[in-house]
Order: sequence, then structure tokens, then C-alpha cells
Amino acid sequence: MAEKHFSLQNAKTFSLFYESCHLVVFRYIYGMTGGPLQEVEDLTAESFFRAWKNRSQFQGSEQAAIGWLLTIARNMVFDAHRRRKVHPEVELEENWDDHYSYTQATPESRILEREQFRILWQLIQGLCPEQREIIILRYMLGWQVKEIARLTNSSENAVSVNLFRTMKKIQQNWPNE
Amino acid sequence: MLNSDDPQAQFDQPQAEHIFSLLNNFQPRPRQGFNHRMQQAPWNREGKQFFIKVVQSLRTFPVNAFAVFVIFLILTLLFFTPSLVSTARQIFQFFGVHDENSRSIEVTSTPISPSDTSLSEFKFSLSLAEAAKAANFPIKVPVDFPKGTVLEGAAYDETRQAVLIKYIGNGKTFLFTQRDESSVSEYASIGSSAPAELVTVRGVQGEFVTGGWVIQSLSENQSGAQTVNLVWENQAGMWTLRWEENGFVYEIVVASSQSVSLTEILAIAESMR
Repeated sequence: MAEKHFSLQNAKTFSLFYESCHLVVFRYIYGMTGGPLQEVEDLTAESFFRAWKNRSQFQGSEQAAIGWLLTIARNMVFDAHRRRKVHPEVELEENWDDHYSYTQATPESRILEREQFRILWQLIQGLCPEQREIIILRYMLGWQVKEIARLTNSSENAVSVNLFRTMKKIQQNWPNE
Repeated sequence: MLNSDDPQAQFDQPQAEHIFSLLNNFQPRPRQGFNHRMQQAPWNREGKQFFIKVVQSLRTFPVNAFAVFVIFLILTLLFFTPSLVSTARQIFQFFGVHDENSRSIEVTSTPISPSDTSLSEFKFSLSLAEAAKAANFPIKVPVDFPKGTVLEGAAYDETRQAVLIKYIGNGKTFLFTQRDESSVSEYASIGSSAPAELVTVRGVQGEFVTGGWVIQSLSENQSGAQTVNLVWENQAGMWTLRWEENGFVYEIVVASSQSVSLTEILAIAESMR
């Protein structure tokens, strides 16, 4: 069955599109850059501005539109990464856990979970951009392997293999207490 | 998922599911300021954009805005003010339109009988050469006439500095008028209900009018001057074609009891040499 055509020409349609996917773009950029929040917001806004400016070039379904938008964001993140000659140590924002849903119930367990996330975040930010992207898309945004393959223009098998290796790398680099 | 009974065990050796759980629990959101900023995004103010651009262009180019306003004002006055409509017609067309379908002319010389029309005002006693000599400009005459049409004669109207040539035949009267454009101070007027059509004559714009002024009544005052009361009749049996060419104003008036088509008059006009 052919995918329904989705147009971004109309301002109202674009506004609805923004409402439906701006958090996806924001979280993708947040995961890829690690912050700070101001830079993430700037890159998110710029991604949508560029998409609006070039909307006549897009043709396809709504799902394809999200992919197209993330491609714009992806290029901007990679450019920003190249400009930072040495990737700085990215610390989590103060009060970052305002946006974290704790699984643990007790205060002690929560402190442990908090520390686990902090370590994981630092390990992810230490990965190369391609590996980091695959982890963010799969585990932070919950994308399927085939969707990641479409965005990164690679095969599903290549994505699965890369995902497995990256997970291994994170596990190996996990600090022993 | 995390095992709440023993989180330390998974801390040492995190599994894929554990990493997924940690990352999936983190759902950052932009700050409130970002949302305010995006409310001003171009897709949220596109409707206002056109108005803003117009206002900005008017501010940037006040002279242009003023010029547009002046042109608009002039056109409004010309086309929507009743007293100026006829003026506009005179600018864009050959004929002026009279306010009504009737008019009066005071005649101080030759008495006119009620059966006369303007065509009988002159005696066409000159030859073409004599008329051209009197006018002091070369005249154009038609070379392609319907069979049976003959030249009656020519005349020179000193008042209007115009050469008049009259042909008759087959129940039709043709009156040709040629004037130097510079001597034309005003154009003949037509009735307010006269059907006028813009046409192309000899490659230039001309006008074709059906109908004519006919004498309705005559009156005489105490000093003996006559007043001719004219009324415009669309069914007067008169057709007029006018145009301007190379500095001259040409007019062909055809009077006939039969119908005369535009094509017929245009063919005669095209044959003028």
C-alpha cells in the first residue's frame, strides 16, 4: 500500500508537524551533544528553521518527514562536533533528574540509579558520533532497527552489528567499583 | 528492567535491557523560554507576514506609495465621478459622450428645414484637386467602392479646416472627412446611449459608432436666429468610423436606409490611398 503523501508547504501543517515531533528532535540533539541545554535548544530551533526554509524540497510520508528533519539535525550536530576540536567533558545539567523517571523506590536505591545514569551518560558521550547516534536512536528514542537503518542510510544488519558492538564497548568500559 | 532487590548486581555488569531502561527513563524537555521563542517561528506568523511586508515596503518606499495613491486617486476621479466620465471617454476614445440623448444648436446663418441633416449643409461643388488645394494638404480617397457608387463632389469647410468628399450610390451616402490633427480642437459628441466599439483601422485604433443626431424640431427667436433641437437615434440609419493616422483625423459617415456593416466600411477605409 502506497504511503500517504505529506506536505509541509502549508504553515498550519508545518506547525502541527512541529508540535508532533519537536521533542524527538530536541532529545536526539540532546543525546548527541550531551548539552548544554542552550546549545541543544539553539540547534533544535535552527533545524526547524532550515526545514521550513527548504520545505519545498521535501516529498514523502509523515514518517519520511521526521527522517528528513532528523537528517538536517544530524548534519548540524556533526558540524558542531567537528567545530569542537576537542570534545569537552560534558557534564549533565544541574537538575537533570527533573526529567528522569526513577525506577527505584527507596532513597538509597535512587542514589545508586542516579549514579548509574551519570556513568552511562559519560560513556555514551565518549563514543564516536556514529556509535552514539545508534544508541540514542535505539534506546533513548525507541526507534526500530529498520528505522535507524533508513536514517543512517545503512543496512539493518549493519545497524544490528554496530549496536551489539557499541553495547559491548559500554559494558567493557563500565567502571568496576 | 532494573531489579529493585539487588541494583548493585546490575551496577557492576549492566545488560542491554538495563541500559535501555536507564536511557528510556530520561526524557528531557526544552525550557519554557524555548517554547516562547518558537511561538515566533515563521510558520506561526505567516498569516501576518503579508501585511507586515506591505507596511514595511510602504515605510521603505514612501515615494512609491505616494505615487500609487495619486494614480489611484486620478483613476477614481476619471472613472467614478459622473461629471468626468465623458472627459475620460474623450481622452481614451475619439468621441465625446453627450450627457443626454438630445442637444440644441443655435444657427445664425443659413436657414435649415426639418428634413435636413448635417450631410446637406455643404454644396459639394469642388473637384478632389480643388479641395486638396484649398486645404493645402494631400487628401486620401477610397479606390475600392461597391459597384454603382459615384463621386458627387468635394467641399472645404474653412471653420473646421476639413476636406469633405461625398459619394452616393445604391441608396447609400458616404461622407469622407479629413482634417489636420492640429486643427481639431474638439471631437464630435455622440449620444449618451450611443453604441461605440473600438476597432482596428489601417493598423491603428479607431472607433465605430452606430446612430446619429437627427433634427427633432426647429425654433426661431425674435432676432430671427434658429435653434436646432437634435436627438440621438441609434436607428438613425447612420454609421461612423473614425481614426487618426499620420497626423490626420479621418471620418467616414455612411447614411442609408439599409443596414451597413462594419466590415463593409472597414473595407472602404482600407482601400484609401
